[in-house]
Amino acid sequence: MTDAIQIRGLSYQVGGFALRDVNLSVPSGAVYGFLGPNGAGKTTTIRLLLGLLRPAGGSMKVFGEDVPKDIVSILGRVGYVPERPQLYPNLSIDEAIRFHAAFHPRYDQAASRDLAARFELPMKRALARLSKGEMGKVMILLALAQRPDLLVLDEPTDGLDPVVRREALHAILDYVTESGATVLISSHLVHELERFCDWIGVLDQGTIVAQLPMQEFKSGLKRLRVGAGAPSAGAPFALLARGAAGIGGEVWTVRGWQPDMASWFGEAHPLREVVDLDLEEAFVELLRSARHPSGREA
Amino acid sequence: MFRAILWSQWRESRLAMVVLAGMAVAVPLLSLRGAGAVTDPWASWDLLRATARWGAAYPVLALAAALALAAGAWWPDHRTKHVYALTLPVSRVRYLLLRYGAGLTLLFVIAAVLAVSTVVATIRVPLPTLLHAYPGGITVRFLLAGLSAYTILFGLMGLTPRMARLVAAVFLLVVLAALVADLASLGWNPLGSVVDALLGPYSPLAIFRARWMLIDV
Repeated sequence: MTDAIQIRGLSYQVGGFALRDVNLSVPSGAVYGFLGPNGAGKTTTIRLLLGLLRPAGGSMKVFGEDVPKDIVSILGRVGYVPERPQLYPNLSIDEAIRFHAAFHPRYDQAASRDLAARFELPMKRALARLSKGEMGKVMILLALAQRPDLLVLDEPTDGLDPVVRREALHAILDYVTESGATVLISSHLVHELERFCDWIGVLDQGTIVAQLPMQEFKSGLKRLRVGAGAPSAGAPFALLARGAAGIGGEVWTVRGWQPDMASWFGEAHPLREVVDLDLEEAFVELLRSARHPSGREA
Repeated sequence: MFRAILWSQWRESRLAMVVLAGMAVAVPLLSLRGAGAVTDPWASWDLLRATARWGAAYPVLALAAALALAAGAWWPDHRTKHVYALTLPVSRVRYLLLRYGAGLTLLFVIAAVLAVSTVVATIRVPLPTLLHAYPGGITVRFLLAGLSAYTILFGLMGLTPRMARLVAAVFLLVVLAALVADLASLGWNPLGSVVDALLGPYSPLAIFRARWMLIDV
């Protein structure tokens, strides 16, 4: 499988914030969840990828074309939903659609009308007078109707109510299913990504700390209940954190767990329970282990 | 693309456009309001003086139009921090030319209104012997002045915040130097020199200093 996005050794610095040696590969056709806490550098990475900022070093390719050298051609294939809506507020929705369509030769008017009806948008209303939810829908409508090969969504549902969020995500999913487009979706709403991403990349403090298929990410992270005092040296998994849990027991958070590893625990310190972590817990543990790589008492 | 940009710019500056077009209609008509009563050739002098007084309104109108259109060209992008514009699949140079061209087109519209208005105003007035009407001349001057001012303002308003701060700092420095020179009675006026350079005979803005006469000998 070729990569729709390939970032190598990307670095960027502004003020006290820096992106350091970011390497990221988004396979074609993947729905790639770009996770990270607030201020991790997700939006900066996206802006660098779209040529809005100049990197200090590294290389970026989208569909094999260089950023920023071939950015005009790249932007013709990318639908972008920014973190904050950035459309001209004096235009009505109708006018904003016409404006957008004029710059995107593949803009699908029929799809645009369908989405407008589905989202129940007031077409004649000025963008400045739209609610946050309506504005979010307009941004998604524009990005989808231009029939992009790559959708870059930067916190697209942040601040939207659950009903609007669900509608927006369904529209995105429908488009992806129908077109096979690649999606890079950044969010700190972990549950949202869990449902439909097949790849995950985690950025923390300007560095990629993990990048793997969602299935692998979810299945390898476990919480184990083991007997107190069990030695962790030589464990076939990575111990992220350990702490006391009631009388005579400990809780370990591990990565890279496989069911056959249960036999590694001896009878002196038996494995009592293996608990699946949901994506949010896994995400938190991953960040914790990235910030304290040696593993520590929880 | 051009139509889309033109429409967005019209939406942004339509109120200013309507006001400016109204002024372009009103100024020529008002400037010749009393001219119909001039039958005595010796009263031509009064007509010329009245025309000269109103003449100052044309460069002001050109400057106002340039300012409104340059602001209308940049304001939507400044408000959106240029993110939307920069993610459109069009090169920056082309986008800049589209924006500039759209503002220029709107300037032509105001100039066209002025042309019609000056022709109508001068047709209505029986001119004394030796006096002539110059509706075409006034319109061309308006267009040139508007074009010069619009180009400069478009460039200034399109500056990045850092460059804008730099230009403002240089300007403040000149003002400060002028103030110090004045207080110290050095007999040197850097602000005056800058203004002279900007409006001097070889400057594109020199046209603002010219005589703007709709009726002249």
